[in-house]
Formats: sequence, C-alpha cells, structure tokens
Amino acid sequence: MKKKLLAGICAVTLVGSASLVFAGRLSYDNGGGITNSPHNMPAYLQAKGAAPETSQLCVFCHTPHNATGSGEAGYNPLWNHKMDTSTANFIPYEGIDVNDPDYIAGGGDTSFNALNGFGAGAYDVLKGPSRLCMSCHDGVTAIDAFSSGNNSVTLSYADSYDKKIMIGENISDNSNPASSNYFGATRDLRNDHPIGFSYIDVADGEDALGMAKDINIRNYATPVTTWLGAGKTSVAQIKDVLFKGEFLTCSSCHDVHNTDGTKTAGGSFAKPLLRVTTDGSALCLMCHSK
Amino acid sequence: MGWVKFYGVLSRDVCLKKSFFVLAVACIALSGCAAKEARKSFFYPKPPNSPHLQYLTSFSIGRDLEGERLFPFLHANADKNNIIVKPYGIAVKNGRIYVTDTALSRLMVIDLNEKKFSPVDNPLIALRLPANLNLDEKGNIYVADTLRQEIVIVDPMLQSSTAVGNELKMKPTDVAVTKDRLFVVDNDQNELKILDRETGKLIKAVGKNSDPKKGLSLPTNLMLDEKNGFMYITNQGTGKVVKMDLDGNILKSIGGFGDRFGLFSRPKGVFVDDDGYIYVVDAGNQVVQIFNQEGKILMFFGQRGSGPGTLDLPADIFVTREKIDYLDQFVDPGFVREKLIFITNQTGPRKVSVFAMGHAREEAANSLEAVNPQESIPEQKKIP
Repeated sequence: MKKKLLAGICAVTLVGSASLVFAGRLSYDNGGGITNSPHNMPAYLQAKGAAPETSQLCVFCHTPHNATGSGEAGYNPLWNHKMDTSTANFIPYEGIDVNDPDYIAGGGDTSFNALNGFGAGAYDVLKGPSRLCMSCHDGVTAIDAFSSGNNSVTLSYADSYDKKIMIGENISDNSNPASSNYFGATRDLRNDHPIGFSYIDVADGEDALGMAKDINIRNYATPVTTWLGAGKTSVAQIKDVLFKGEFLTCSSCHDVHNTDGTKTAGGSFAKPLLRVTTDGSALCLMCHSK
Repeated sequence: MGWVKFYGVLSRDVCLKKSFFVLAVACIALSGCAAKEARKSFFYPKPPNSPHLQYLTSFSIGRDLEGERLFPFLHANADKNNIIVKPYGIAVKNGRIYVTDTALSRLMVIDLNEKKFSPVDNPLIALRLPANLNLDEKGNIYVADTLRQEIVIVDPMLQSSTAVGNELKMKPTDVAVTKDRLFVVDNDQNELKILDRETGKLIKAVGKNSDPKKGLSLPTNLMLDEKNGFMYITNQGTGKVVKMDLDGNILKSIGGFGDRFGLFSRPKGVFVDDDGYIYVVDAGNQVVQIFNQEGKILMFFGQRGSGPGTLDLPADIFVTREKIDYLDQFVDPGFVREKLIFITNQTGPRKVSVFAMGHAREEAANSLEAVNPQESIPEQKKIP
C-alpha cells in the first residue's frame, strides 16, 4: 500500500526540473539569481525573437493586481451586475486540503485513483505553489524542452501507462542516447518525485489514505545540514521547505528564483535549480533516513 | 459523501480479493450509491445575478458515463484503460468529444450518444505529445503534436493517420483548418505558420516581431473565426489574446497580466462562438472569461477547488449549439440551454467539464435554487 501510494503520489519535479534548465536561457550560473536563470522570461523571449512587453521578471508569476486606474469601471463584467468584495480579484491558487470534504466528495482525482488502484478520496497533488509551476510546465508550453533540444525525449508508445507519471508525463527513454535526463533505471518517475502529500502524515503514520508510518522518513523537525544556501537561516529544518509546514511541493526541492544554489564539489549537478546537491544523494538523504 | 468514500474502498477490495463475501457487500454498497444526494445546480454569475451559465457534469473515466458497475471486477481492464489522465485539446462533433491526453500520448473519444469511452490505441496513430486538435468538415482530426513536431491528421474512422510539417522543425501547439490552408501555432518560434492544406508546404509565417505590439509571445492556442475572417491567439509571454485577420495582420489585443477582470495570468484555450462571444481560458486563475467583439468583458466563470463548477489547470475550450440528448438530464428545469461549453482540466477530479450557456426560464427566474460553490470551500486544515 505504501509503495503504491508513493508510486502514485508521483512526480512532477523532474519535469519542472529538466525543462527548467532549458526553458529559458540555455546556460546559467547556479545561485546567480533569477536574472541569471532559465526563469528570466524577458531574456528567453528576446532570444526567441519575441520581445516581452516589459523587462520586469516577476510579473509572469507574481501577477500584478492592476487594481486602480481609470480603466477599472471598464473591467466590470456586463453580466455580473452585482459583485461582492470576494470577487474583486481572481483568487490565487493555494491548493485543496487533504481532508477537504469538497475534494473527497468530488471523488478526488479519479484518473489518479483508477491508475493506482485507489477508490474515491484523494488529495490535491498540486497543492501550494506547484499549480503555478505546472501552469507553464503543462506539457505544451514548457516541459518537453529537454537537454538536447525539443526532440530528445522519446516516449515509447509501447510503455504501459502504469509507468507514466501523473502530472509531468515525459519519461526519458533509456535506450535513446540523446536522452540522459532520466531518473532511475526503471524510467518510473513516480518512485522518486512525489509531491502534494503531507510529509507529517507520512513520517508519523497517520494518513488520509491509511498508509502506515514510514520509519525511514526523518522527522519534519530534523535540522538540514546540506542546504546549498548555507547562509539562509530561514531554512533550519525540513519543515521549513514544506508548504504550510506540512506539504511537499515542487519548491521543497527546487529553488525557482535561483538564489540559493552553489556549484557542487564535482561542479556537476546542483542544477536544475536544486536546493540541495545530488552529490552523494544528499537531496534524497535530506528526508530519507537510509 | 460517506457513501462515496466507503464504496471507493470496497471497489478496490473487490478487484483484489474477488471474494463472494466482498461481492455481497459491494451489492449493498451499490444500493447505497444509488440513493445519491439530490443534485444541486451551480450557476454563473453567482446569485443574485441572473444565471447565464450552468455547470452540468464532468467526465474523467468511463464509469462517469457508463454508470456504476454491479460487478466492478468484470470491467476492471476496460475501466483501467477508459481513462483521461492529463487532457489538453478538445473538440466536439456529432455528440462525440475528442480529447488529447498528453500523459497517455493518445486521443480519447467520448461518445455521448453511445455512452462510451473509446481510447484510440491504434499504433498507426502513434501520437507522442498531442496538444490541441481540430476537426475539418469531413471529420478528419488534426492534432498538433509537439514531440513529433508535426501535424498529425487522423481519419474520421480512427484507422490511420498522415502527417505534415515535419520539415519545418516546429513546436506546434495548435492547428486550424480552412478549405485550402492550415494555420499552425509554432510555440517555440513565436510564429503562426500558414501551410497549404493540400501539399503541407509553408506559404508564410507571421507574428514574429521584436515589437511586442506587433508580434506573438509564447503563443499556445488558436481560434479561427472563419466566418468573420479573424484569428485569436493566446500568448503566455504577454498575457494577451491577439486578434489577427486571416493574413496574419494584428488588429488588436485583449488583456495583459493581472488578476482583475479582463486580465489574464496564463491565457490558454480560446474560442469564438456563433454569437461572436470570445471565451478565454486562464490556467493561472482557474477561470474562463467571456468577452464581446469589442473586447469588453461580459462575465467569468469557474473557480479554484474541486467541487462542481470548479476548474483545475484548465487548458482548452469548445463551444457548440449541438443538441446532445445525454446532457439534457443535467440541465436545471429552471434554465434554458442554448449552447454547450466543454473545458479540459489538466488535473483534479474533473478532466472534462461541461457547462451550459443560456438563460433562466421566465416563469422560474425567481425560483432557481442556486448554490454558491464558493461556500463549499472550507478553511485550511490546521497544522499540528
């Protein structure tokens, strides 16, 4: 059951990660800030011959409110004659709670359930900031821009969909020498990129889906010693990278702003925008006590 | 709600154990499922505004259409394959919903007349990363496949396929068809490529311009309004919908980045119906906004969450006046359906959401029992 869940919880960050590197600038310095990162969208657009309307970097994800000004009256929808204050702006996404009766009554993610043998009652895989990541890394705008160009990833049609992941679906083909971005020899990303679940539930054993305590998961208050941004005192324990102190999201492992990274000892794999180096599997061992 | 969860656990057990005992219990559980709570109707705009839109239903797996099984294990294999994991493009014709699934690299056909999910697993139609799709007048399906870097054309019987445009090295995310031309969005090159429909040869490419007022910027979705001679393209680099004539001259744009009405954060699917209403899907705000031809916003619908009427990373939209009998059962007796709206959601429990656009019946206009979906979103769970 536990394996099933872990397998099922699945896997977005590789997609985020592998495509991040090449979505924007083709090369960047790890830890060089967002201006020197693949998320410098103005730079990316200029490189592709399409100027952005602004040189601002933040506007793409930190949506401006444009709340005032002469145009406001013109924004009022003609068919919504009466607006209440709660709809003055669209509400940013924060995810759906594990125990949200709305979500459970809705049957959870039915495709997810069917794929993984669960019944109704699931949780929001894209809880927290992950949904914002996936609004671009959606498989169409940004996802398939892997290392060797757009065409380097081979999705084998013969693969059982059991092996495909739920949110970021690209699976590199081991047999394709152009594709070196796979994680794990089985091509099954669900093993190593779970997001959206309650870390506390997994570590302590209480879970909406009834899974047992995993003794190999460290307590959420475990001090983090392998943090790349060593000067960042805000991250002292595992829970500091969890959404609302509890949920694992894309940004638990990935530093979207490229502020914390440093070169690894081997100069190799602190990319793509990882918070902890993969040298010596430090990233995995941050949470897994093995 | 309790029944839903209870039944879910049981159905898993049935698959695993296949024991008579569990079967018997499953039957009891099913009788419980039959007594579902009475359906409430969800309207937009929210009360006290008069309703223009009703949420009808959603489809994610075959069971959504075929109903609950008396003996689920007998259908286990079919159920496992009749599934949409991560849909993107959508088109509807003759009661059939055509949906691309980027996770399963295939096309799914949902036949609402036959009440059947039909995944297209034909190896002669080997899609790799199908984004948007469109149908031509004969029912041929044109699929923009970003990994194959070409437009895959599937015959109406879903038996075979051809492809065009591979030599152009595009990253095609959407395609539209006219009598003699193909219009293809090249997401990577910030261009709209116009191809000869017969030969697949490039006639010209438009939209690439270092001046953002004159060019496309991370374009994804395309709507061709052939009747009026316009094209609409959503741009994630500027947060705008660009309106062009069929020669690719930019006429105007709608929106920009923002979280207020008329603005977008991730504009994706776009559609223009026969009234000229422009629908724009926003995957960043989980809403669809509707504009008139002047670009003035009429209303919006959809919201975050998972309940009825919500959207979850919505991608593409299709609007039709087609009469589809199966969907009539979901229309509120106090509401008159004029059009049907189909939207794909990349995640969440509702992979294809169906709404009806229309108006309140006059005699019932004041008696609709409307429910505000917002009220059903509870507070966040407290952190221990």
